[in-house]
Amino acid sequence: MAGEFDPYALLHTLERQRVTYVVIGGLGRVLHGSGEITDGLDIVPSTREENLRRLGLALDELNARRRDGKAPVLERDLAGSGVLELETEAGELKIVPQPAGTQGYDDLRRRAERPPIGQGLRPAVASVDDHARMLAALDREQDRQPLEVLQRLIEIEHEIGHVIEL
Amino acid sequence: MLCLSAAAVYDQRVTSGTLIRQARTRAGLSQVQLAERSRKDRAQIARWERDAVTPSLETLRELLHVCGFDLDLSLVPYRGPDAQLEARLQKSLERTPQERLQTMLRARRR
Repeated sequence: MAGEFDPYALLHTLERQRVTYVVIGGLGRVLHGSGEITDGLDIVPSTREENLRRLGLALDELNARRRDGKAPVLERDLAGSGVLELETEAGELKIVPQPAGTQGYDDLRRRAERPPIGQGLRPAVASVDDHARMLAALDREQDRQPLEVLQRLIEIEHEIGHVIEL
Repeated sequence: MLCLSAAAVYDQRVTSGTLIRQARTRAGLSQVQLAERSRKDRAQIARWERDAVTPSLETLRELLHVCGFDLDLSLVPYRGPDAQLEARLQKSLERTPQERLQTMLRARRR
C-alpha cells in the first residue's frame, strides 16, 4: 500500500539520484494553476540507459512496488505496459515513458518549465500546452473537465499577453 | 437579531432544511421546543429539516425568527459555472506554483 502522498519526498529522491524527467499529469496541472487535487506524481523519464539506472536507484530508495507487490524491473516493465504504476513510501508514482500524443521526454523537455516549488526544488514540468495535448490525445470522458480548465488557462495566458508565472 | 446571509446560503447550496436545523441548534432548541414556540407540528418541523417538504418563505422566516435569526435575502447577478471556473482560476493564478502545490496538499488533508 502506498504511503501518504508527499511530492516533495518523491522529487527529492529523484533529484538526489540525478534522474532526468518531466512532471506531467495532475501535479503538473496543479502547478500550472488548475486548482485540482491529485494523489500521485506522474513523470516522463529520459529512457537513456544511464537515466533508467538512476531511476531504478531512486525507486529502490522509495521502496517502490508494482500493484502486484513485486519490485519493478524498469526496462521490462516499461516495455510491457507503456505505463508503470507504482506504490512508494511517499505515495503513488506513475512512470510514463511516452504519454499519449507525445514523443516522450525529448519532446516534452523542450517546452518544459522549472518552477520553484519550495524546499529548493525546481522540477521540470511539462508546459500547459503539452498538458492539454496529452489530455486531448487520451480522449477520455474523465479528462474532459481538466482539459477545459487547461484550455481556459491557455486562453488566459494569451489574453493577458504574458506567460503564466511558473 | 442575527442574520443568515443569502449569499452564503446559495454559495454553499444550503437548503431550507439546513437553515432551520442550523438556526434551531444554534439557538439550543429541540424540535419539540421549536414546535411549541412556533406553534407548528413537531413532525412537520422534522420533515422540513429533512427537506422532505419545503416550507414557504414566510414560514421559514417565522421559524428562524423564533430561533433568533433572520434571512438576509437580496438579488445578486447569477454566476454560472463558467464564471465560477473563471473565479477559481483567477485565484489560483494569483498564487505562485509553490503556493498552488501547498494549497492542494492542504486540501487533500482536509
